[in-house]
Amino acid sequence: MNVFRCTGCGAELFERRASCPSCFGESFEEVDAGEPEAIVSSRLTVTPEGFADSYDLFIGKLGKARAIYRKE
Amino acid sequence: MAAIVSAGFARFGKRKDSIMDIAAESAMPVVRSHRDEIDFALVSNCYSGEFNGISGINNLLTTYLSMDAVPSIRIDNTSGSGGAALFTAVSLVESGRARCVLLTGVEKMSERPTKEVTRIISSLLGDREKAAGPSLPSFAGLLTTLYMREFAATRESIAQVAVKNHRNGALNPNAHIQKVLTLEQVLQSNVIIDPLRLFEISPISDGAVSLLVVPDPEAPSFTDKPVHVKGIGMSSESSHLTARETLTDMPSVRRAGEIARRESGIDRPDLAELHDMATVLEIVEMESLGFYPRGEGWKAVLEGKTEIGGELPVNTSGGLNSKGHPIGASGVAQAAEVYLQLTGGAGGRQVRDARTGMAVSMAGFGNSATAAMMGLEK
Repeated sequence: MNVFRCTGCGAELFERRASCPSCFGESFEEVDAGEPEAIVSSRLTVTPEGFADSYDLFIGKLGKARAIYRKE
Repeated sequence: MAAIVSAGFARFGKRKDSIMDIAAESAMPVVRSHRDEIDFALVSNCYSGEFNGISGINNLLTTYLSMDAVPSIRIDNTSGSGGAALFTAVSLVESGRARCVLLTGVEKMSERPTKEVTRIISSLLGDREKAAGPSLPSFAGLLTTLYMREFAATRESIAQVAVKNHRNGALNPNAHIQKVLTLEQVLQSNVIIDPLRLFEISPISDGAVSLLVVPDPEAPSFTDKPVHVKGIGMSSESSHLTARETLTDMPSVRRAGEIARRESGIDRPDLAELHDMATVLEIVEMESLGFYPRGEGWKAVLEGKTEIGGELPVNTSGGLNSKGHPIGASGVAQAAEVYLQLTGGAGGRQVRDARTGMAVSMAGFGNSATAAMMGLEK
């Protein structure tokens, strides 16, 4: 799973931004951070339109960032 | 600063009426008495485009109320729209740009299927977070697990918030859910977002609330019982939950509360209305506001300290949890509950001798928060 790494200070973000929250640099590279490591999960049985009716939602560590992902 | 001098309500729940009629039901009692004075209208509303297929609801509403020439603005700050609108109303009268602001919070959500409502509300998330398929309440499920893990809180303490808020809601004729629940009923209701159950999450509701906001010096000409906004603070936090260090603290709520406390000189209110979209949020917000130390809010709930009659009653209205959560109306309704409590108009849920109260309106999952400290003294 990819993260956006600031080429100025090395901060890593799951969500792309125009400007780095740590150094305000404006240049990022997209790099593979491997698989996320689960911190917490929840089974959802009410889900948004366009998605299956039930799945597990996770917050996990992904490199120096955090990720939100699901497993059906 | 500014004072609230009148309030009108349209009952929260699943309503057959149009969004305009719901808004007007709350606004007309205020407009009828003060039509000639109102010189600005704010409409707190989040999703009238998505849910009702309309734009420019602010001007549509002033026209529907036959205040065609009164200038108006729609305030959208997701779930925190109501607090942001109160902040704007106070700022307008403080600056002298307006002398009498009609503030109406309204939402009509119940015509849409739950999955569609869930998708529309989660549109406030970042693109990659949204693509994972979370609902906004799903973060409350994750937070519940994290909170219990970090602070050894009991599952019962989280559910007890729903017991308290439904008991309060049953005393509020404008609340969506009129049902007293036992702890067993809460804990045996359907799991919606593990471990949170049905009765721990606010329902999808329609409804509206209107307030009249005027400068402090003019308040006595409107009513002999004004409620003064003595301090109001607003703060934000990253929209990206993946950019936050923790979910068990709400920095936007903490900072907004600090501003409201500093401006008002009131450290601890007599009561508080908090944004309990899910039970656990009420506890975390109480801690972020400094009402209880971090990790100990759940104990205050179990000990009854936040009940009506306790040392700091929280969500006497029933909260979003029982009163309902018509998004744009919720934050206005919180301020309106404080107004009712301080003016002695809260009926069976009246807090005795209440002289100060705080309303905390929260957007997204703490993406933004507005805290207003109100009091009877100017």
